Amino acid sequence: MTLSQTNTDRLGDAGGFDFKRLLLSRELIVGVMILITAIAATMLSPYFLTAANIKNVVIGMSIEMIVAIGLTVVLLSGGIDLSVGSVVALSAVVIALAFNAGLSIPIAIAAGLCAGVVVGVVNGYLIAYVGLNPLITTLGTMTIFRSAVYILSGGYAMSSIPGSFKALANGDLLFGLPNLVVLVVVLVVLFHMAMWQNVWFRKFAFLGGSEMAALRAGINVKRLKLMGYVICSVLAALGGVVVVARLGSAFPNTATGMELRVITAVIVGGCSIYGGRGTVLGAALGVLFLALVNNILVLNAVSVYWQGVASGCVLILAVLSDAIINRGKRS
Amino acid sequence: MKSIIKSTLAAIALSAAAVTGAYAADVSDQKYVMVVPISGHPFWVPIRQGAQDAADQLGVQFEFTGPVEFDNIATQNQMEQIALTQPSAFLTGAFDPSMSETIKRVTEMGVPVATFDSDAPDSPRITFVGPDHYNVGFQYGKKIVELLQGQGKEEGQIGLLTAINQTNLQVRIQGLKDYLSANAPAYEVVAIEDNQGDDQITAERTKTMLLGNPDIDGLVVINATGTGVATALTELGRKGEVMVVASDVFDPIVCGIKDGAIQTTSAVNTYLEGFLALKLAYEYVNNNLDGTPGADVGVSVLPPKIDPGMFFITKENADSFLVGSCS
Repeated sequence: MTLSQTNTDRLGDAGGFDFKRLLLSRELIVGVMILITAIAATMLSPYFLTAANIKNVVIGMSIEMIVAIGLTVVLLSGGIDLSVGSVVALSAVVIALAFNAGLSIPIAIAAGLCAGVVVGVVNGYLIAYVGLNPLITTLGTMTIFRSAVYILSGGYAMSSIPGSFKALANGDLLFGLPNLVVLVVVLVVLFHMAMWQNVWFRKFAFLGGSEMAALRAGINVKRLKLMGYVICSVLAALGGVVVVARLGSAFPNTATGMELRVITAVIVGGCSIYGGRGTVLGAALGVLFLALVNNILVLNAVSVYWQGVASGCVLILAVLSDAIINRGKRS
Repeated sequence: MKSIIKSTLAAIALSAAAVTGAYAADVSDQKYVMVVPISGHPFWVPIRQGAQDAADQLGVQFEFTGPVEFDNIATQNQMEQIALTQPSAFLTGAFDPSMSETIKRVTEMGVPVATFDSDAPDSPRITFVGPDHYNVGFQYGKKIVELLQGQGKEEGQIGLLTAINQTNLQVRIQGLKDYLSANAPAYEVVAIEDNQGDDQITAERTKTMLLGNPDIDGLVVINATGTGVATALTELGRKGEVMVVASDVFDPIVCGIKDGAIQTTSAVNTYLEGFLALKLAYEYVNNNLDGTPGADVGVSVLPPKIDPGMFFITKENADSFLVGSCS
């Protein structure tokens, strides 16, 4: 993406309404794909369009969606973070250890989130201030912090989680909606609006569009990059909080491989792997789309050996449709 | 004369001490390496502890290692790399048939291999300590049918949760299906889902499976992800309604039994797997069983298979297996 594109797409046209651009927007394309998938699913399975199944899909994808928000921030800024799965597990184990030590719920949550801050600062410092490659750096911290999880837990699964903490994830305080769903919707809306309207958050897309231009515009690029990784890791740590609350236990192998699933979903949702392009809403829709595809395959008892083929084909079709629709625009 | 006898006895005692000391010093250099995939998984904890206790008793070194993900190739690569350092023996679980070739290669490099939990019978491994996975599956079938019959169901639909990349789990599934077809054909496996060994994924897949197959009466969790199933049943409000047979013993699974979401979990005596695998490898490495008749003409000095036994944990005995607490 060029600087002029970045300026046009992200910063210069917040006021006007461009119908053509809306039609070609990735969010709308993914939205249409979700709609087509949902219609097909409704015809294929009578159980798809039931409240229980929709609730299942939304709760099931909630943790990946929280992680996806943070990854969108990092991808928008031109970086990548492979350590998110390890952060989810690290936060989960830290919380379980805090409960084992007899600490209260707020302190245990704070400890889990602090673990995220630590990883974010380490990632951000190495990438922004030392100048290391984000892919390699976060690949390294992914293994380091996964090892830290095993060291801290001793390989044990921990289940000494207070009932009141489990109730946080499993309750439904607002209009009968599961708390998890409310949390995810609030986070998606907040971050989407912030990335769209807030000057400071919009700098991430500007930075991802052209780092040189961001520097010339007087943006403190290093600090902004670091903050992107901190936001990403803190959200992943929040994912860890939710995992412990939902499962009532902390497993050291939690969220292994989650990073690739979430990165895939975020890219399906329109985030560019090269930075500068993408929205939180698009990423959320990408997570929803992949969750729906999985849901349909399982609902229809498609053989587990064929599920990979089916979801891979759908993934390629999703990206292909974008490439075809936007061919003229991007060339 | 007395002084001569005393001196002789003292010399013998000293020699014996020296020999014993030298022997102890020799074995303290011996290193037994356990290599497993998903090395951080709680499943390995009792196995590792058993091997560590055996090593401490024998005065040898013990090392536990392996890739953090379920990657058979990475596991095999690690074994071959470690073999270059010439440890005394390897202890490993052969989760994939391709492990046989690796065992053959490291054995040719002079490092004997004892397998545990999952066998590689076509390999030159010196012994295997672990369950017969086919029989484990067979017992799963028997147990889920017992549970369903206990609910007055003369026929039933069963869903399975497993990790499809683990060959030993496929063997369990075959054992389960064979039990059903031979002994209880009215009970049928109607869905099998891949949970990738992750409780979070298990929870989501279980819920979807139950929503798509509302007539499922029982679930058998072939791998150690019973916590995910318990979460799914709790969220669906079907705890105690769908019968669950889980695998392995961790606190969260035991808590699921106490809570009523899981009816039983199978427990192989995995501590014994690690303990016996190391002890038998030690006997082999130190030629302590060379007096076995026929050893000089190729008769195996170790038993080819040892089954550590399996049992089921239920609400009645769950407390005995809880290490921590449930809240």
